[in-house]
Amino acid sequence: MNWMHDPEFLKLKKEFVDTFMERSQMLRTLLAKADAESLLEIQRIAHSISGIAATYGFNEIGNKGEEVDLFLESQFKAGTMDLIKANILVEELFSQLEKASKE
Amino acid sequence: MIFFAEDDPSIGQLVCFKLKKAGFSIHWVRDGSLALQEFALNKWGLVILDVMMPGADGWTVLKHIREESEDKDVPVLMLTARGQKSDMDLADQNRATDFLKKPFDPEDLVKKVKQHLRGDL
Repeated sequence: MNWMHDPEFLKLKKEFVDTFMERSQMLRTLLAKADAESLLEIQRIAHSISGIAATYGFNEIGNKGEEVDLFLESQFKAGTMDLIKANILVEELFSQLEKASKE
Repeated sequence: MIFFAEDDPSIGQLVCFKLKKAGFSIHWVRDGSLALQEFALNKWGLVILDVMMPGADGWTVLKHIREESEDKDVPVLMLTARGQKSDMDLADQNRATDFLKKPFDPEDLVKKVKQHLRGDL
């Protein structure tokens, strides 16, 4: 049997998906604040998502998480913050999380 | 037995699932401080360390193993966030045996474990 169809893996995958709404709501709250501390926390969440989502088969979410992570990292390094672009990217990420959690 | 340090439960559970299915025993600790404390409890066949952990990061734990522990030559596989040059440099400097970039294919992890695990442990 392919391990991705193993009931134990499917249970772990469901538990992972169950975290999507919580992560999404956290992103929404942090994005509404948009201060330096919140943006750092958004980057941490995006970084975490980018490191695991594809391993569970959620490639698009993983790619978007990486895009948010790298964008915020580049902005921090440059000492600037394009909040409009940050908003667009983070909204795309939480839309994907919410969509996946409902499927 | 494999010693494994990872704070993210989604990754930790998946790694434990895959390695147990492949026939390995694994001891999982969930932050870097615990890794520093519990590494000395046993002699391990292989160590797998996440880089970003609370308490102490994976590089700190690796440095401790290589410089201060009683088993300095244990194979250590690092789970890095990306294949960043800084991570590769740190892996070299701290004598990591190998590394795997997140997100990883669990099959690749099993291959690396088979490649590096000390046969007698």
